[in-house]
Amino acid sequence: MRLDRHRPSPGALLLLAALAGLAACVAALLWSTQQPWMGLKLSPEAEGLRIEAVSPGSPAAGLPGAQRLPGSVLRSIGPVELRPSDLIEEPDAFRSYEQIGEFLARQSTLRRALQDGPVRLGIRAADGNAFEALLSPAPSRSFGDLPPSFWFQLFCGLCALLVGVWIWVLRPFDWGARMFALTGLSFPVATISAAVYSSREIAIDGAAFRALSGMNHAGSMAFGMALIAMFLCYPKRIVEPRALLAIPALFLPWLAADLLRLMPDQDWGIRAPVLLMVLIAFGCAVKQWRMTEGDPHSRGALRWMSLSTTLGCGLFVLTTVLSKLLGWLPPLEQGYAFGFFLIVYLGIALGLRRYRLFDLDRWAFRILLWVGGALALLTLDALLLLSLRLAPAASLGLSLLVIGFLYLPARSFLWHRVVDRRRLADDELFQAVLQVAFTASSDERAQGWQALLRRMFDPLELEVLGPDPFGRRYTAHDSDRPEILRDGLAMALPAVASSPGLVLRYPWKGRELFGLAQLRLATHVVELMRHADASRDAYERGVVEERRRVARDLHDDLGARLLASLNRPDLASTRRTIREAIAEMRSVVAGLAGESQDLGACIAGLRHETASRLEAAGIELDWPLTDGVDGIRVDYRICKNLSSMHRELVSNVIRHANATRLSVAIELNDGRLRSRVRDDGVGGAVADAADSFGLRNLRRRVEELNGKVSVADARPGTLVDIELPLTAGGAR
Amino acid sequence: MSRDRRPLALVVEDLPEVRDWLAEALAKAFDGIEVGRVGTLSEARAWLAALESGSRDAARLKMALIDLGLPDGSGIDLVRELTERHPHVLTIVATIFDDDEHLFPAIAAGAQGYLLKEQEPEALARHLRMIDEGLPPLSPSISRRMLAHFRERGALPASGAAASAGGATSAAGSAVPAARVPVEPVAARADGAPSPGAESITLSPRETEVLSYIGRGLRVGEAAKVLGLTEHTVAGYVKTLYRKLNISSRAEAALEAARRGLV
Repeated sequence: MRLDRHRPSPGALLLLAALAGLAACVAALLWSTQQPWMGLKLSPEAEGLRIEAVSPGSPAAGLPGAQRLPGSVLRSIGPVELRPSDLIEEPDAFRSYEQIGEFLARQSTLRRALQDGPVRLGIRAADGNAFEALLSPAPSRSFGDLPPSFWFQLFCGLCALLVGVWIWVLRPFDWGARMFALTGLSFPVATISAAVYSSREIAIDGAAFRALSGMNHAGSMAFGMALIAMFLCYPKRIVEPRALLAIPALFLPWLAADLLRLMPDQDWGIRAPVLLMVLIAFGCAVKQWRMTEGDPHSRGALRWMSLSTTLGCGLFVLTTVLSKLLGWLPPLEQGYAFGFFLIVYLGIALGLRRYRLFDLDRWAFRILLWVGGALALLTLDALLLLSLRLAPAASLGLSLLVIGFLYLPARSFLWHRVVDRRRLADDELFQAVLQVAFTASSDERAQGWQALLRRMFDPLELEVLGPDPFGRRYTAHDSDRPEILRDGLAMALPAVASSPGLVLRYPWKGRELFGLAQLRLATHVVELMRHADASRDAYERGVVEERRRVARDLHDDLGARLLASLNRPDLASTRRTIREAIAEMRSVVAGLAGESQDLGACIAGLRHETASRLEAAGIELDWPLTDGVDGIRVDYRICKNLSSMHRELVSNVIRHANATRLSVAIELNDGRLRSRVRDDGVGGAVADAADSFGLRNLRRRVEELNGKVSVADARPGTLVDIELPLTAGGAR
Repeated sequence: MSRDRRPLALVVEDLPEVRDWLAEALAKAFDGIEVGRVGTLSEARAWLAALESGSRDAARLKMALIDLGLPDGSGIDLVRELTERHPHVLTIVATIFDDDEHLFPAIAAGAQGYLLKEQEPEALARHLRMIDEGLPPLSPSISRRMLAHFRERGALPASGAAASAGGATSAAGSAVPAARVPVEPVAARADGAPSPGAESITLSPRETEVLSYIGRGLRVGEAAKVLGLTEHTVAGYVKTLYRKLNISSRAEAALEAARRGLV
C-alpha cells in the first residue's frame, strides 16, 4: 500500500481548477478593460465602420454632436483609413498569412493612435455630410461595455474546464477520463483567448493579438488531439496509452509550423488540421462502435458520448470552419459558436447517470455541489471585500459592525453546513456500532453498517462487492482487514455485519483522501463490529441450542410418558403416568430459567418431592442432607436427568417393590456426584423386565451425562448406584 | 335462613374440567360448602362485586382458589385485591408449577397457600384442609427465595444468617447445630400480633432456621424433628413467614410509590 500524503484530494483539485479558471477569466477581464476606449459600437460597412450606438458615459458620448453619431459611418481614426476587415472577429478568416500580417500591423497602428491621446475621427453622417470630431479615448473600458459574447465565451470555457476536471478527479487512473479532462483544459485556452480579441472595441496591440490567436490555435489543436486520444481509450482501449504520443508527434509540428507561419496559408495551417482531427476522432468512434458490439453497457456509453461529441464539434466546424472553406453557409459569430461545445460537456454530465459514463453515477454530482457551495461562499467573501474597499469611510464602521455580528457567524454556519465535514464522536460511534450489530435481520444489519460508514466517511460512492451469479467474487479484494486503495481515493472494507465487502470512494464528498488515521479508525470499527457480530452469533446459537434442548426434552421425556399413558391398562395408572409427565414438564420448564442451576436447590427439591410421595405411599424415607452442594452451579441437564432418574426410581419402588423404607445417599467427591438408592422391598429389579421402560430410560439418561449406573440385587430390596461427573464435559 | 350460613368458596380457573375438579376437592374438604365458579379475572371481579352488595354473603366467603394464568390477566392481581378487601378470606393459588418464579410473587401478594392442580381430588382436599388449619405448604425453592428476599433487606437475625440455606452444616439426622442461640429478639413479637411496621418484617432466628431446613429439602415434619419442635409450631412459623413476606412486599411497594411521588 502506497500512501502519498502530498497528493491533493479530488475536492481540493476540483476547487483548485475552478479557482484557476476563475483567475484566468479575471485576467482576461482585466486585460480587456485596460484598453483605450472610445465608447462606440461598430459594425462593418462597405466603406468603413458603421456606428451602431454610443455607450453612455463614454468619451464618445461627451462629444459635441454625439447624438448624430448613431447611424453614421466612421471613416478614419487619425491618419488611418478604416476598412471593414479591421473589425473582423476572428483573424483566421483571412486566408493568407500576409493578410494577417497586414491586419495585425493596422491593429498596432490604430491602437497606438488611440493610446496617444486625442484622435481626429473622420465621420460621414447618415445624411451624407462628412465631419470630423476630436476624441480623447479613455484609458480603460468599463466592465459593462464588454459584449455578451465575451461573457459567453468565458462561461463556455469555464463549463468545459469544470466538467473535464470533475470527471478526472473522480477517475484519475482512467485514460479515457484523463483525455476527456485534457479536452476540458484545452477548450478554455481557446475560448478565453478568443474572448479577449473578438470583443475588442476596434483594435488591440498586434503582437498581443498574435499571441492570443496563437493560444487559440494551440487550444483548438490540443482539444482535437485530446478528443482523438479519448476515442482511442474509451470506452474500449484501442491502443496502448504509450501509443497516444503519436498524436502530438504528428500535430505538434503542424501547430508549430502554423504559429511560425511556415504553412502555405491558413487553410493548411489551422483549418485542415482541425478538420483532420475531427475526422480521425470520428473514425475512432466508428472503430469503438465495432469493438463494443456485444457489450451493451459500453455501447450505450459510446452512443451517448459520440452523439454529444459529434453534434457539438460537428455543428461548430460546420458553422465556422466549413462555412469559411466552402463559403455558402451563413457564418455564425464564433463567440456563440463555441456554445456548441457546451453540448459536449453538458451532454456528458447529463449522461453520467443513465449511461454510467466513465463508471460514474449520480453521486458524482455531490462533489460538484460541494465545490459550487465553496465557490459561492468564496465569491461572496470577495464581493464583500470589494464593496468594503469602495465604501465611504463614514459607513465603514457600520459595515464592519454588521459583518462582525451578522456575516461572520452566518458564514461560519454556512461553511460548516455546506463545506466542512462532519465527524462522528467516539461515544456516538460506539453506540452506532452496537446498534447495527444487534439489529434483528441480516438485511437491516447490512444496511445499518453501510449507513454507519456513510456517516463516518461521507463517501461519494459506496460499492457493494458481491459474488457474481456464478458464485465467484469479481473483486480482487479478499483481505479481512480494511485497506486503502488508489493512493487514498478509496478504502476497501471486509465483509462484516452481514454485509459483503465494500469499497468506499472519495471520502467526505471527495474533499479528502483516506489516510492512516482513517485506516486505523476503520480497522477498529471493523474489529468492534466483528466482536459484536461474534457475541450476537453466540447468543443466537445459544437460543437455537436452548430451543433444540426444549424440543428434545419434550419429545424424550414428556412425549414418552404421554405415549406410555395411552397404553396403560386402567384409568388409575394412566392418571399416574400423566402426573409423572406433568412432573417432567416441570423440570423442563425449570430448566428454561437458566442454563445452569444450583445443585443444592436441585437436590433439595428432589428430596422434598420424594418425601411427599413416599409419605402418601406410606413408605419411610431416610435421606440425610448432603453437604457441599449448595452454591455449586451445574448444567441444567444434570439437574434435570438427576431428578428424572430419582423420580423414576421412586415410582418403581412405590409401584413394585412393596417396600417399607427407602434410603437415598447423595455425596459429592472430586467433582463426581454419587447417589445410592436402596429399598427394602422384594428386589429382583434386575431380572424384572416388566417395566423396562423405566430402566431403559435410566441407562439412557446416565449415558447422556457420561455417568455410570449399576443395579444390584441387594436382598432385601434393590440398590441402584448412580455416578455422574459434574464437569462441563460430562454434561454434554 | 340457615342456607345463608353455609361457607362459600370461589374457584377462578379457565379450564372447565379443572374448575369442576377443584370444586369437587373443595366439596370433599369442607362439608356443605357452596362453590362459585368463574373462568376469568373479570368474571371473578363481577362475582365479588355481586357478593359485596349483600353484606352477609361477603362474610360467608371462606376461601378462593385462583389460577395464575388466566385469559384476561394474572391471578396475582386478584390475590392482591382479595388480600386488601377481604383479609379473612383464604386465598390459595392453584398451579401446575410449584417453582419460585411462579409462586413467590403470589405469596408476596398475599396468597396463603398453594395447590398443585394435578393431584387426585383426595390429595387436593387434604391439602386444602391443611391450609385451612394453618399449615400452608412450603417448597424448598420458595424457602430459598424467601431467605434471599429477607437477607437482601437485612431482615435476618445475626445468628440466623449463619443458618441460611447455604450455611447449615448439619445433616437431618444430627442434633440442633451448636451455633444456634435461642434468643428471641424483639422482632419475635411479630409472631403473635403482626403490625405493619419495620420490626414486623424482620425474621426471628427460628423462622430463619425453618426456612433454611426446608430450603435444603426437609419437609415441615422433618424440620420440626430437627429443631425439637412440634410440627404444628413449625407450620405456624411457615404461616407467619407467608404473612411477613406479604407485609414486606407491601411496605416495599409503598416505599417505591413514595419514592416515585405517587403517594
